[in-house]
Amino acid sequence: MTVIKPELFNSRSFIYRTHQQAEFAEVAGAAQVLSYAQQGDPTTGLIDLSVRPRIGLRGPNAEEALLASGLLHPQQPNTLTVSDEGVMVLRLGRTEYWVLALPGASADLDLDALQQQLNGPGIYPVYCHDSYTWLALAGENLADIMAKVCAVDLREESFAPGDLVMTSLARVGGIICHHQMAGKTVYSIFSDSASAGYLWEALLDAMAEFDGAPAGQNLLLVADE
Amino acid sequence: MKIINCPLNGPRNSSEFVHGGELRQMPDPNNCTDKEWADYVFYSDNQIGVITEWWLHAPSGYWFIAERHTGSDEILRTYDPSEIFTHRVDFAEKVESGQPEEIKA
Amino acid sequence: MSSEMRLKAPMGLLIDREKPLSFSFEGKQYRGFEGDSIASALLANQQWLMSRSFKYHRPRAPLTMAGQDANTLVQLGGEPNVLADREMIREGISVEGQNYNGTLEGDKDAYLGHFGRFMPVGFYYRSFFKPMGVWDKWESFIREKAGLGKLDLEFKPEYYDKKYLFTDVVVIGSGPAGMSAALKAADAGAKVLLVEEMPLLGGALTYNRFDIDGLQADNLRQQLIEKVTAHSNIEVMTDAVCNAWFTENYLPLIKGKRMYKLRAKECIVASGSYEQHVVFRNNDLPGIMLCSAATRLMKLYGVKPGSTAVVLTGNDDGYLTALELLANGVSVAAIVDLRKEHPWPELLGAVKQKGVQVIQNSTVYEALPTKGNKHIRGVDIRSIVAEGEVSEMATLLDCDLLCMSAGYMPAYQLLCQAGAQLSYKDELAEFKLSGLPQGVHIAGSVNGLHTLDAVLTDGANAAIRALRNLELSDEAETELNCQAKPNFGWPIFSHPKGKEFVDYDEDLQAKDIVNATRLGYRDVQLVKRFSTVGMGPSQGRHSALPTARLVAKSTDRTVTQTGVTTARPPFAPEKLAHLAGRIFDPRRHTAMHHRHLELGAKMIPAGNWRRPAYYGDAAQRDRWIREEAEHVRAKVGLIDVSTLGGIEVRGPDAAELMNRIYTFAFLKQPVGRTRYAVMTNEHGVVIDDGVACRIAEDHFYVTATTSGVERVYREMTKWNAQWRLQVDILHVTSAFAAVNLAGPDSRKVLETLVDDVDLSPEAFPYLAYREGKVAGIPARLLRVGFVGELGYEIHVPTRYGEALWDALMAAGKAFDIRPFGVETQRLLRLEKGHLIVSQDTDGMSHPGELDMAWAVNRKKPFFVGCRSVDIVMAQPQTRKLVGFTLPPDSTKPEEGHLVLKGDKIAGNVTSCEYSSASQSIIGLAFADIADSEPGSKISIRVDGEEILADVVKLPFYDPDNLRQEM
Repeated sequence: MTVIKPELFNSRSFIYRTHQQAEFAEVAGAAQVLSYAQQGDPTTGLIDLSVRPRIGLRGPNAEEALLASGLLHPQQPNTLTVSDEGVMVLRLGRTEYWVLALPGASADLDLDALQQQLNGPGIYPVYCHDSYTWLALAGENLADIMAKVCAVDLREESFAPGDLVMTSLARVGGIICHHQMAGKTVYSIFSDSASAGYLWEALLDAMAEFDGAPAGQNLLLVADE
Repeated sequence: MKIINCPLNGPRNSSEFVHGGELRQMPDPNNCTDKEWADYVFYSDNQIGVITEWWLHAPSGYWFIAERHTGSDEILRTYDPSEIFTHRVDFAEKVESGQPEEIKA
Repeated sequence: MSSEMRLKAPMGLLIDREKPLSFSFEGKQYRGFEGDSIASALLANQQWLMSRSFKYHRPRAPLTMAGQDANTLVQLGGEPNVLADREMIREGISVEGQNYNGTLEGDKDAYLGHFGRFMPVGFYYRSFFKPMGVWDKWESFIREKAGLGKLDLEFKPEYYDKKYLFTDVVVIGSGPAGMSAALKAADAGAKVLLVEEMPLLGGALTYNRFDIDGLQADNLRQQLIEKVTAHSNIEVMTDAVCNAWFTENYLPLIKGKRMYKLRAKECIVASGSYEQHVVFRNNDLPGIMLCSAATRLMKLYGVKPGSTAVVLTGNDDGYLTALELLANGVSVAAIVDLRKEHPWPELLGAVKQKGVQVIQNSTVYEALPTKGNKHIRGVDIRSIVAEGEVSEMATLLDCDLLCMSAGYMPAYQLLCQAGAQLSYKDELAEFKLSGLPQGVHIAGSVNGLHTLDAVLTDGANAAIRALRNLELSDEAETELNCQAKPNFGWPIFSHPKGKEFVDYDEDLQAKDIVNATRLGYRDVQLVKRFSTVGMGPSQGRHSALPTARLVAKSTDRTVTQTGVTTARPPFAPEKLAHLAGRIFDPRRHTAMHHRHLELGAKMIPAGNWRRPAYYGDAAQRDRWIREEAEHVRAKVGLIDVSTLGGIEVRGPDAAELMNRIYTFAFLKQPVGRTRYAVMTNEHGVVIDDGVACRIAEDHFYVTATTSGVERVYREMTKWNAQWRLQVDILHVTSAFAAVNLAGPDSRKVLETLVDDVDLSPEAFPYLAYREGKVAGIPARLLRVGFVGELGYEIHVPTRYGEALWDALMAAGKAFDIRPFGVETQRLLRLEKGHLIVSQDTDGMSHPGELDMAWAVNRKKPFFVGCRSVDIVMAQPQTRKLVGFTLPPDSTKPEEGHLVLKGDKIAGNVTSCEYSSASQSIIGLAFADIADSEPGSKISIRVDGEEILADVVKLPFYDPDNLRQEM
């Protein structure tokens, strides 16, 4: 059995080199970090989900098409929904939607096929897989950590699960999404793919005082004892 | 730092926004006089009072309109541009005044 | 340690007597306790002298014990200008005095004090500017004498950072007003942040005596602290300074090595007030301090400030200080009361009962020094006969401590930054604040209230106003009443021999301020700039009030009219490290970034991006660029162009939008073709260019310059917010990784990797656009000719960027492929005469000046800037961008060098390189229109030399464009 390594695939995370100690699995033709070897799960982890499948669409008819496809979708701008099958749908502004396969999403989910299906006049694909890196910050003290890079109040009372904000973090534009996985608070962060390495470092630096560390997607699948 | 209330994203620090200049009515570019055009391009009233401006919320790429008092810097109202721009804008064909054209490639 | 100077508990709230620490000052070892400030530990050891004054090198000791004077500035290791009365001692630290020549005790520059009358106010400005050039000779001497502290140039950076904070209500200051406000607001359900500069809560309650028995302050403090710390809605932040007020309650809080940026919905300022000194001769001698400094020393640090004291006061608080001194074993030789009136009878009775002599309607006229002005040894007391004037008859008293209080000045800084105004109440001799903006409230002694009951009520009232704004309460405010009048109207007593200091930091005496007004500087702002009053580290905390009074009197105006100078941020000294700590400097890397590093690229910034300039060491830059360029011309090269901006325009009106945004005609652009796209702004100035690919009838993919794409995208979306065309505009720069595979062998390389696109020149000609798979990766292929050779731009989704690079480099190996950098590309495009917008254009360049009229369709109904282009192109043209050549051995002009026409500037060089393809130096420059025809000569000034260059027809290389169209 071959050991899964990012370089085996044409499709690579923007920051795969930072995951020297990680264990990978193949996800959608690329290597996804499962866990960081030789360490227990940190109380707060930063996880690179950049290779996970996601599609985007926008335009005046995007909402209708999404409704027709039967996907759960957010009613209000700048909110998100998560389905039981592990599909997260973001509504960015009024007419843009992203559909994302969370770790542990149903194996039947074929987002490429969905993208083909969500097609037609007034619907425009958004290349969110390549424009944006996907990082997940999971665990404790998330609002405190984000307060070191972001000027928006992300404390629970003003940023509830299901909310998302489009803002600037560490001086890079980005989207911060509040959801829950395996009993943990998760902030999924989407930001300019070209700045992925920069943001990864900035977030790890912000996490340091809370003993945060890099982690893999398993952190989002296993509930704490 | 000032807070600007974005109609789409809510109140945010002004550092998230880009100023887009005052909202101005463009004269018909093909029929106005040179002076009218120069007024439109170069001159601002620059008076104390409420002005209507373009602002961009940069992280979401969203343009909106703000009414701001230039004396107090208070922003009185922000709203989506569709409140003002309700119809598609088209430009009339240029009536040729016989200027020479040289088009290659 | 001299233990007799230490008082017993409960004196010494801040120190832990169980934890002794040792440290050194001026090389000598001292001991103190944990919690001691450097100053308190030194005073406990009878070491009073801490610094030398700025101008006259006079010995100085603590004045405020609260970090509000420059007297305690010391050097702590490599860090200069540390406030000794705020910085806590740590085991083993080494502290030095500042601003002396030789030793602190025996400063060789102390003679400067005798030259005071030769160094009048404005001395430096007036003395060293004539004759011309004399300042240059004096400057180094003066700088040597004037410097404070030493910088450690070997310092190691430390970790400072920043964090945002959010709260409903912030309360600045935890004195009785602040704690009362915090509790009131928190009880109503607001989240409260209570900010305190000191390590413990309580403000004046921690050091001031408010009653004869001296019990009230402690009891109240303990009650309030208990409630505050137990309250779940209150977060307490001690050792934190709010250093400014910015719009909408955006407040920087400095705590340790972190700057918090607080955003509060409501802000209550309970910042207290500064006790004021009395202006008399030698009022700066060590042993002279504010009443509050003496009580701070005793209550906070358990240090006895002297053995025999004189109290000089203009209010009742001086009497309470006398009681505190007496209670701690300091004998009080006299209370010298500036007023004619007595204090409240019980208080007067209490001090008299202890045998203290009270001298009314009098002042200390002069403090008498020990040898070398090292300490106070006595006072010369005179009765006051008129405002600022005293009798001839003197009473002399011995003392080693003088405590003084002329009244209070509100800590107005934050509130004035918020927009409040100061006005002087003549009947109270006090400044009052008014005109606060929405969401900012004032409470306590900063609001002119000085009795405890009034202060507590005022705090609650401020909270009620804040709660009303938050819609958490509709309670009415409680009426309050405060009769205290602590300020004495004219505590300024000039002396013929001077040295009656108004501003200790800057060694300014009463006559200096008056003289400034006599020289015509009537405005207090001008007085400040001329005399430097208030410019020192204490920023006018003590000098502002006497200066306002002196200037008002001297210019015959009211104190309100005179006012005080603007109190700009920062409120307290702020380290640059607090501003610089953890600054975000975003970097953008392309998908191939690490491949460039592995290949030894010299990386250079391009906006936020990092791009390879060339591959090789910087020492041989010219060689690498020449080799890479020759390689592209002869074989095949590969350059990462991922940083090129990308925008998608889609929808039924896509072509219409393109047609309005760019100057060319796009409605009839065929699908599968690219077209050069130039953008002008409304002024008709060229601001960006790129290549537009028509992917489908309703789908354009257009590139933009690396630095310009954000602007292009914003312009497009803003225009369409008005035009309402049916079109979607998507910024896709980061979505695509891209390379340019260029050179005569590029087709051969690509053929090995592509099997679903016919790459033959007939099927895929110059300027065509195709889609296919390159090494199995979905790709957009553009045949463009920026570098002037057969070439293909290949754009793929970013996730595949590195794999694409690897595949091309591997496939190219057989054809000797070589990567080339952006500097090489600049040379190659220059050889082809292609301009780079913003390098070869400026803020005035219209299409006609750039020979771009061919790319402007002036028949279509509209494009942005069309009318301006019509207007400027109808004017006689004055300059033009031209190509020029110079022999290879000529001096090479640099970008920016001027092009001259006679003695006038006609333009400047915009690009210039040596071209091995042309065997000459080639360049682009703006030239006078008369010199713009090929065959003309232009004169370029290069470092003083004028060289003549030949104007030539562009391009320099392959004039018939045969190579790129192969």
